[in-house]
Amino acid sequence: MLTQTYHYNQVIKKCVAVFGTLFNNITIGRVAEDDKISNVERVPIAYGPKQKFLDRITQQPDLSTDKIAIKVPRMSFEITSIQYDAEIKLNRLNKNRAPIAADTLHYSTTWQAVPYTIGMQLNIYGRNQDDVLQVLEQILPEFQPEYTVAVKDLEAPGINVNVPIILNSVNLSDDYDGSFETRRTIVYSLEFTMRVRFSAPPSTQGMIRFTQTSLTPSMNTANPPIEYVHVHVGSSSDTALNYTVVTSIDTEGF
Amino acid sequence: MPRSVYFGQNVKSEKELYEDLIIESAQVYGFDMQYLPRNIVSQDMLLNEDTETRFDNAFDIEMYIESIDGYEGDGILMSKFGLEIRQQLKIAVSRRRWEQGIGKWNKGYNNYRPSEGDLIYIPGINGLFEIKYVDLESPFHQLNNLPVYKMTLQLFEYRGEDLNTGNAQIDAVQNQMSTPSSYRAMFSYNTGSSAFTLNEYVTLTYPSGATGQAKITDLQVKPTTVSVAAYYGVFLTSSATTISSVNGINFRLYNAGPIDLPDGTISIAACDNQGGQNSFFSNTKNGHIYKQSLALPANSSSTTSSDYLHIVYGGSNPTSPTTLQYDITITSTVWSGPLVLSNYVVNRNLTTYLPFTSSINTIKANYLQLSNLTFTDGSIHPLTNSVTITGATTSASGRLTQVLTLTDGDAVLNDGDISIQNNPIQSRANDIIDFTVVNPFGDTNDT
Repeated sequence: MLTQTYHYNQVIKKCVAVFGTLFNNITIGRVAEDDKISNVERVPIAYGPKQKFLDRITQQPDLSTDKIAIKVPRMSFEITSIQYDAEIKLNRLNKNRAPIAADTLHYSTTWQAVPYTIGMQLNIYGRNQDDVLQVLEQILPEFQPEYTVAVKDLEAPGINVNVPIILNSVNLSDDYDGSFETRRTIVYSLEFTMRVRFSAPPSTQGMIRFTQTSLTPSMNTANPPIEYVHVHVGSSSDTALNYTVVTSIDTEGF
Repeated sequence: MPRSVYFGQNVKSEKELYEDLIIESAQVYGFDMQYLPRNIVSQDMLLNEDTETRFDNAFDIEMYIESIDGYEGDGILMSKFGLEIRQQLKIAVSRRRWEQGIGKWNKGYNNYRPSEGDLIYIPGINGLFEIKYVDLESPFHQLNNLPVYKMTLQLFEYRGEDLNTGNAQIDAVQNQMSTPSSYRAMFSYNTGSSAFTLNEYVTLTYPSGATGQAKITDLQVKPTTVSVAAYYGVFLTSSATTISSVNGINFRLYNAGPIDLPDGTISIAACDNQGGQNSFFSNTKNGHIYKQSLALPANSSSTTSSDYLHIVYGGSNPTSPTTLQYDITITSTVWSGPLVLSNYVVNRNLTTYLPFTSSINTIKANYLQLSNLTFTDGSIHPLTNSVTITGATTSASGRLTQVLTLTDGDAVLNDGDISIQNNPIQSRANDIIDFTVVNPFGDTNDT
C-alpha cells in the first residue's frame, strides 16, 4: 500500500467548482443596429460529464411536456487532461509544518506537494454567431493569458494557494454549410490549464522541545564532555507559535 | 415526338379533384397544428443572422405527418451540453389550404409559401418544430400542378424568442424554456395597484432614470422567510421617572433579512402583555393601541419620524415593575402571515432606544420572473432593488424588493436540472474561493 491513511482532499473537485464559477454569471443580449438590446439573459453553464439517467429524468421528468431540441446559448466545461508539471517541481524533501489545535507537543507535516496541470475545456454553444461572440468577448480580456484565483484548503487544510488558470487556445466550429436539413451548430472551445499540487496525507511529528549539546576539550571522543549546553522551552504549555526559550550551561548531562 | 393530344394533363376539374382528395386525406388522417410565422424584428446584416425574432401569431391548420414510423433524425442523445433531442418529422400540407388559412389570402399574414425558420406546434405530440426545408415539387408535376408543400421539421432550438401568440399552450413554452436564463425577484405592489397578469409586458424604471421593458413569464405568491431584526422603541419623553408622562412609544420597523418588507399597510393584531402589567397595554377603549395602522415606508431604512409605528397607551400609571415584556403581532394587507415581534422589553426608566429580539418569520411575498429584458439605450442594466415595474396591459405598478442572484438562493438556475448548474457551482465555490483577496493576480495575503 502506498499509504496506510485514507485521505481525499477533493483537489480536482474543487478545481471544477473554481473553474466553473468564473463563467457562471455571463449575460448576453440581442444587439440591434439601433442600439436596442433585447432578450437580455443569463447563459446557463454545466459540468459536461454526467450520468445519462440523471440527465434524462431531470430534463424530461414528464414525457408529455412540451419538447424543444435544446435551449441555446449555453456552456459546458470538462476536464480533458491531468499531467505531471515538471516545470514547477520543487525539492521533494521540503516539508510543510502546521500546528495542531490543542496539541502543544506535536505538529502536522506534509511532504512537498506534487505539481500537476489540469486541462480544462470550456465549450460555448449557440445558434447565432453573435450570441457566442458576446460570451467569448466577455471571457478573453480576463485572461492575460492567465487568471489567478486564491483557493482555500486546496493542498491541505489551512493552506491557501493561488491557482493560475491559463487560457491556451480558442478553437471554433461552425458547420453552416451542407444540406438544409442538417442543423447548424456553433461551438467555440476554449482550452485552459490549471496548475495545482497534490499533497500526501499529513503525518504527526513530535516537536523538539529540549536539546543538549556536549562540549569536549578535544576531538578525541574517548574524553568525556566537560560542559553541556541545554536549550529547552520555558513551559510545557508553550506552542509552536507562542513559546519562550531557556538556555543553560552546566557540567551535568542527561 | 410530342405528347399525345388525347391525354390532357391540364384539366382543371381533375386538378381540383386531386387537390380535394389531398385536403380530405389530411383532414381525415392528419393532425391539427399551429403554424407560427417568424417575425424578424431586427437582422444582423454583417453576420447574416436574425438578431431579434418574435412569434406573434399561431394559425390553425391540418397537416399530414408523412413520418408514419416515428421520428427521423439523430434521436435523443447526450452531448457536452446535456440532453439534446434531434428529432425530425416530414409533413405535408395542401397548398390551397395553406394559402386560404395562412398565406396568400390571410389578411394577417401575407406570404406566398411556408418559410424555412417558421415554427409549427403539434399539440398531439407536444412538440415545437422549426421548418428546415420546404419542398414544393413533390409529387413532381404529375397533373401539371404542385398541390402540396412537403416540409422537413426539426425540433426547435430555443434561443429566447418571444412567443406571444395568444395560444396559452404555445406561450407556455417560452415561460418554461426561458426559466434558466431569466431573472427573478420579489416585489410589492404599490398601494391601490391592480394585479399584474402572466405574460404581461412591463416597463422597468430604474432609480437612475434608465428604462427598459420585460415580460412576466412567472407570477406567484411564495412563502418567504424574512428575518426581522433590530427593532427599537423609544419613549417620547424626557422624563424617565414618571411613566404617566410618557405619551407614546415608537417602534422603528426595518428588516435585516434577505428581502425588504413589502410596502403596504400594517396593523397590530395583538399586543399581549407577558410581564404581568395587563393594564399597561390593552385593546380596550381609550385607545391604548392608539394607532393601529400605518403605511410602511418605501425605503424601510428611512429614519424619518413618519416611518415609525406609533403606539400610545392610556389608563392608569403602573407603579411597578420597571420592565414589561410584550409580543406584538403585525399583519399586513400586502403579505399573508403574521410578523411576530417577540420579547419587546419596555423599561420605563429609559428614554433611549430599546432593542428588540430579532425574529425569523415566514410571510408570503410576491414573486415574478422577468424574461426578454429590452433596453433601448445600448446598455444592459442589471435589475436592482427599487426598480419600479408598470404593467402595459393592466397598468398595475409595483417595486422590486429583492432581486434574486446566484449568491442569495436563485435556485431556479438549477431547480433540479443538472444541465444548468450556475447556482450549484457558485454555492460550492463560495466555500473554497478566498474572496478576501482583492487582487486576484497578487499574493493571497494581498488584501
